Amino acid sequence: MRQSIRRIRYILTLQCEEASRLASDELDRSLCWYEQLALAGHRLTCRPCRKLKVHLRQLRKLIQLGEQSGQLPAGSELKLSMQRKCDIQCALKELTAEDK
Amino acid sequence: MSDALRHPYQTGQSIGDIRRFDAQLVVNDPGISHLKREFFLKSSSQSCSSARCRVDLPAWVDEFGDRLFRHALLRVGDRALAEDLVQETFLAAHRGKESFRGDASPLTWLTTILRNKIADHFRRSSTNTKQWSADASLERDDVDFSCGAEPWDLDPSRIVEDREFWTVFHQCVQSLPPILAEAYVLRDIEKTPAKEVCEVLGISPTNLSMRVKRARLAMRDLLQKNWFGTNRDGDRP
Repeated sequence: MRQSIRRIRYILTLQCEEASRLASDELDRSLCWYEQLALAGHRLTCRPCRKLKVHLRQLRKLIQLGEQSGQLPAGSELKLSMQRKCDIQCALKELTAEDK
Repeated sequence: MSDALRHPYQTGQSIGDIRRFDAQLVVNDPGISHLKREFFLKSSSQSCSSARCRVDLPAWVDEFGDRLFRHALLRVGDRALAEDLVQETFLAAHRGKESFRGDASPLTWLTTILRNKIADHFRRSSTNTKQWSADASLERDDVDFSCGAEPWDLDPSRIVEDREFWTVFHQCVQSLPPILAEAYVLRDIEKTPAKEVCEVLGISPTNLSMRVKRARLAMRDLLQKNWFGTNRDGDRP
């Protein structure tokens, strides 16, 4: 009973700060029913929070496309140069030899 | 007190040792329930078997080098500097290999070291804080939503082709406060699972959720100010 009252209060009194957290979480996990309801209700009356949803989704889409097109290093074939890999291997060998 | 009875906290050992010591105490306790004893035995054996994991840095250079390099590049935006940081990371890992107990995956361990190296780099050069101070106020009320046209509605496939956008995007990531940038890069760009990011950053899932939210809002505001808020026909306000 107490939990239900707490959830109803949450749905009715959601503020922009918490709504923006939910908008961000929405991208990573599926929200609980009362979180979804609170967010949808808040967005009905709050234009900036409606826009935030569009902006965050657009940003995510851009990152996805950026990875596919190789514009973002995380998704590209960009690699540590062979020269540098050899340098690191040599430095590690020297350190190991020093340890012995 | 004999060494056998001393808690690892007192002998300055690692978290892995402490977990194994605690599990041993629980298992030896006659008052503990059967189920609890089984759980601790299982977790203890998992931890002990992973502790035997060997530090094979030369192999890890080939296995994880590229990924660490891309992470460093996203954070510092300079290829040579990113390579230097990766090299420093492996050398530091060699010096601290005794501390690796296999409790975390090698990539998580190396990413944590790289993260410290990047933080050291930013500490040495104050440029990052200077860039950030110009856009420091990220309260949502500061964002101007009233620009007539809505460039955010543009077709993303058109934006992606614009090389200038990616230059601005990388500058925005690098001008985020380090604490937000690392969460953003790991979570949103590298798509690292939340659990692993929490391990690397040493924070709780709730804390990570807050950091990621702040980072996303900050990125949105920075892109709004530096790219979307400008007229793409060349007539900048």
